[in-house]
Amino acid sequence: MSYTDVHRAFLQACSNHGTLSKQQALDILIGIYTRFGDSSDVPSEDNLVDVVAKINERIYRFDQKISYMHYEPTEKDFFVFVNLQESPIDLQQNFYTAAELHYFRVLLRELTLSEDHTLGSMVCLNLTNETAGDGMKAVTKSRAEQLLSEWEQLGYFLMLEDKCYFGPKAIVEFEKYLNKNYADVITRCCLCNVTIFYGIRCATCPQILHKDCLKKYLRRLTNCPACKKLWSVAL
Amino acid sequence: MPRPSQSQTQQSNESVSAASLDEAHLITNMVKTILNLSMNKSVIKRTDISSIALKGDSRFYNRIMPEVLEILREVYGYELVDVDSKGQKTMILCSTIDTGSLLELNDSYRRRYTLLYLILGYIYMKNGTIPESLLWEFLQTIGIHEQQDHAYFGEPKKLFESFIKQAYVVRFKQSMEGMNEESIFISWGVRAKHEVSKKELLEAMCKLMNRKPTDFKTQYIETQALSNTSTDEVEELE
Repeated sequence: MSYTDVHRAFLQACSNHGTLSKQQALDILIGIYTRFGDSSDVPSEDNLVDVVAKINERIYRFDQKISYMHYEPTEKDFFVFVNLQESPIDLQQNFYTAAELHYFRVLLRELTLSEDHTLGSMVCLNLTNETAGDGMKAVTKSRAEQLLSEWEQLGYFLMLEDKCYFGPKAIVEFEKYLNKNYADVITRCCLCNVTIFYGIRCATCPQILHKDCLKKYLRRLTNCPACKKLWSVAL
Repeated sequence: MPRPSQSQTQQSNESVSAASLDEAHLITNMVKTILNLSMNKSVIKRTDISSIALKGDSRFYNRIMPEVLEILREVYGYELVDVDSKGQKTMILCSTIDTGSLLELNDSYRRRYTLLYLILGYIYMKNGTIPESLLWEFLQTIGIHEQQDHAYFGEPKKLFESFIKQAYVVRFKQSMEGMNEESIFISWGVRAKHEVSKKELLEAMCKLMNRKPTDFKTQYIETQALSNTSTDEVEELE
């Protein structure tokens, strides 16, 4: 299938949303096919994968990618539109104030440093206290609530039962940055070697593992891949 | 005549390919810069593009722009449109593709666009230019107050200002009949003219008011003319 308005429309939708669940992405593609497709076919998940792959071929040159990831906290799959590079060009955001961008970084930092990578919603709002100083007006709590909601829509954070988690977009976009700056705190799943924030923790050692990785492993063996003691945590 | 030495030919070949590599790099930078600056549909300045993508060296701007425009159109479905501005050259990045269903927008965008269409629709039905005060009077009749938070739309005044920043609506001064001072008027901005279909807007407004598009003669004729122009063009090409 050649590159058509189907691809361009889907690319724009991804870029506008920031993050799309697999179902959302499929619904959007179905709508796009009816407007721009050349036949009356309803796109399948395979078509979705093809469209994304074709788009990625074109936008890779501009350090952009539509990334597909499995998000542990909700066990759902997401498509995330990401900027791959952290160069000054990519930081030209004339939309948020310096204090607001600082608040974003503070949230990332605190989420990384907290033990299970979550923060209570009150804690999140109180972190605005750190945004005062250097001539910058601090972010107000009501503005912080708006920002958290906006950033959640884009996929940077997720509020689940009054706790704040890294969202799918934060995980994909900031993986390198967090690995570089918080290397001693970040762990990798010892089965797939990918950075892991949310997963299943061993009862006897500090290792966290992806649920899917563990499922596959425990089909053959019964001990923890890290400390080798008998695995006791329910999946 | 002696042939140029091996090393000299190599050198000139290398400098040619280095130059085209540099150009490819600049083109990539410019595309990225334009995309990033336009992230919120804001109006972007040529000087900003130059200083960020070309590191202030604007000699290459005109030379590489055609290819940059082609990439934006071909890969992303965007076009760069000039905005009338005193002195500075400013542009906006517009989509060349129909936005289609609101499904393609996330929740907060959907709310913004609903308010925007109400505003653009009203201006259109009033023949294209109205005093700004009249707009707020109209919005008040449907429960949207300039200085009050709205349950669905949020802060109407703030949103309206952002629509002006994004070139959906343009604000200007004009003298009203019979008045000595100038008043503030608003009309459709460059982005609205490019991205919003008048035909769809007319149909949506009519649904809201329970009337037929043909009831609004001026607007109906205009939308028919607009769609006829495009069919005429197609016929010519064939």
